[in-house]
Amino acid sequence: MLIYPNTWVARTRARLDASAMSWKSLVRICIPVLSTWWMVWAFAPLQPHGLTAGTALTLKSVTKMPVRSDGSRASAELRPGDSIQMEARFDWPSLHGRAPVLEIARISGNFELRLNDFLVTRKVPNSPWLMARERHSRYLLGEGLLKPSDNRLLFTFYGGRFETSIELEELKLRASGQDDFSGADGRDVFALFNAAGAATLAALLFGIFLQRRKDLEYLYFATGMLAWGAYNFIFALDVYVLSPMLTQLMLHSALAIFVWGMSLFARRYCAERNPSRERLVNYLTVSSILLLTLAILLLKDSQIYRWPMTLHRLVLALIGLDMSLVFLRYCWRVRAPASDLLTGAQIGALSLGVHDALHFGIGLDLGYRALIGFGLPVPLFIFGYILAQRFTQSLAHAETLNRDLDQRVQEKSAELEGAYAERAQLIKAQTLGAERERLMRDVHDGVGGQLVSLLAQADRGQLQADNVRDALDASLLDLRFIIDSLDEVGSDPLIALGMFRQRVQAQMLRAGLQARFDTHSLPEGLALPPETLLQCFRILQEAIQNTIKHARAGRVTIAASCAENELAISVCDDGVGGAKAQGGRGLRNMVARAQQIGAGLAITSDSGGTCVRLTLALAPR
Amino acid sequence: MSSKTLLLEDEPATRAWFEARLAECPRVHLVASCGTLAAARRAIASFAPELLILDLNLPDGSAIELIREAQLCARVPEIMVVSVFGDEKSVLGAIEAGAQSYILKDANAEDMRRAIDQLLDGGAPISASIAGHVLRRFRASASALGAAPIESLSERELQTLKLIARGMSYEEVGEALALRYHTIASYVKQIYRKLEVHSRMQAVERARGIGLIDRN
Repeated sequence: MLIYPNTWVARTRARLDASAMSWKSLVRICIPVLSTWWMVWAFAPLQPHGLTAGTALTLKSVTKMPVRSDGSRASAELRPGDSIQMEARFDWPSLHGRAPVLEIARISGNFELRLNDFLVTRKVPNSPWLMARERHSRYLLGEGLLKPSDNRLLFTFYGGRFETSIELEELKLRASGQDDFSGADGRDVFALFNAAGAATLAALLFGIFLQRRKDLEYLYFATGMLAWGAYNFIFALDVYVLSPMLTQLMLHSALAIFVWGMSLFARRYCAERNPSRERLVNYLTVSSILLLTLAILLLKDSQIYRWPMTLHRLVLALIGLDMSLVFLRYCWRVRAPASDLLTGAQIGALSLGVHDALHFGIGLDLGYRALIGFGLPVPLFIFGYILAQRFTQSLAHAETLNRDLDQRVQEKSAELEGAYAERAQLIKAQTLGAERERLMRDVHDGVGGQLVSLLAQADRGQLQADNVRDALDASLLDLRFIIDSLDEVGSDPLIALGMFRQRVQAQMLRAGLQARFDTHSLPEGLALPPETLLQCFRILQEAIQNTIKHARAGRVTIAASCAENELAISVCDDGVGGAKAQGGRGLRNMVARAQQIGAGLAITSDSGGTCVRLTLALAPR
Repeated sequence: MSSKTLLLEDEPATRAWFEARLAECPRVHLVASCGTLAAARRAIASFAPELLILDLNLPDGSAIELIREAQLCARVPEIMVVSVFGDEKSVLGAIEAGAQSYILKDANAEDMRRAIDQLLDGGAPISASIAGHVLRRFRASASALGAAPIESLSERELQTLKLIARGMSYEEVGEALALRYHTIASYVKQIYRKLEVHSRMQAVERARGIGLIDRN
């Protein structure tokens, strides 16, 4: 039995199973192919390229320094402590609200860039030993700062610790969002691929989450992937179409959400839930985004919001590091092929992270700006693969379990049914046997005895009509007792005594006895077994017979009461007394019957009358 | 005014005994005395008796069938069944089929006359055992249906049944509940009537349950 017989997962699996290629092998092939492709993209040397369409700017030296310049290219040697300024002036008639993008083919050296005295960027390493080196760069120039004419771009180069050479090659200006700009080195295409892949993965994981709503890790992963996809998409679109500040904000928020989602996912996936740590991650993420938002919105100077940005990156790096450690610990704990894969991915991601930290943190120029963005798809898609695999595995596992369970339940129920039927048969046979035996004994005891005695009298020729009638009456009465004792409602002594009363009423009336029945204090719902009931009837009947025959009584009281699981029934007359337990056959019979059912029988007899008191233990209810 | 009566009893001696007793009852006009179900059916068709006195076990079947059929007559006759033991199996089944009275086979002429009078006057006899069973039936169906059945017992009828189940006679019950003897006797007859309707409803429910009757 399938647990999710109609889900798309099951359908996809069925389709894949039907084709020669299985779900797993498909993923197995896709992952290395895609990873290799991505790694090649990420580390492929940048292609030298001619700058795309735009207005070339002409550079002019401002300071009196020896600058080799031919308008599009400038270079100079700087001594420690020196600085040099170069400017370019341009007009910017309104271009449908688009801001200009400054594209620089090659720039090296420590520098800062200002547009109309507004600081656009500052590339001066914190360490005096290092030199900022930029190759191909582009900068969005805030539209709010632009004038229709005579805008001024000012580069200021600073000397390093030692004598350094600076270079500036080909400045071009174009409107933001211009298509031909992107794709210069394939990174934007790459980012688009990333975005598409991330969106696919997010959709897949979200689908899995919909099947297993208990497992929030799938949701967190999907959220993280969605954020990462958004990040890449923003990056790829060159959405400097939007305000640059908004773009920055979106990029960094998306990154934060990605790290947040992945961190929560990691803890759930690795079963390392830690509520306080998770709360800390939540607070850090939210406050970091808020801080950045405030900084970007309030502080227009990018030089100033560089610090909140650095702080934001630091926070994300810490959360990411924590996540990586969680994963690594988990992989160490769980030795499985999947965890080896995960370990590799983590180590890869960590080394990329270290690279980026060195690059951004201490300004160590290691070539590419940020590798983690390019390297991340690999671990991410490995995660995706492992998650999907785990899901399908658990699906298959559940199916197997269900099948097993079904089978076991069927086997067990068949077994139980058999055993039950056998047992029921046995019990029925036993009960029937016991009941049959009892009935035979009862009939033999009562009616049988009477009839045999009648027969003997007939043989001796002593049969008298009165005797016959009495004997037949007694036999019939005993038969009725037997029938009554088998009556279901008769198990309640209250009704049983009512039945008894109706059976013996006429007899007592005939004998001129005034009978009183007192059963008012007896509660409803007590229960006695049939054999006990029958013997009680017989004992009571015997007692009444004795009263009729010997007591010369005018009144008899039959009373029943119940206290502490003991039922007491008494037959008391106001006759002459003189009955003894060891006396006649009738009394001996009563005692024997009482013993048979484990009841107590007390007979008191004096001049005030005779009292037969029967006490029965009731099964506790 | 005497009622046209039909007697159904297979054993000749007992039948003769009953015939003799019935001859002594002024309110009974014995129109037919049969030994088989088939003969009784014919007699019912031709005489339309007002009172049926039936033994239950007959050579050609159970008289319960005949009681059910009698319920479909234009004028439903009063039905009294003859029982040896007055036990639950025979009497209660007959009451559920539509009988209103029963008499023990060893009853004397006086008992017989009283029972017939009681039945013709709108009353019915009952024993402790039968009262206990009737109580149980109604309780079981009340708890099974989650509510009282349509033809449920009234408070007075319930009290009557409880007292009778303790073995009290009609006189004693009448004293205890401050009611006349005849009222109690007619209560019992009503109770039997409800039991019959009730058992018929249950039969319909059962038939619906197993799909013999369409729910609509």
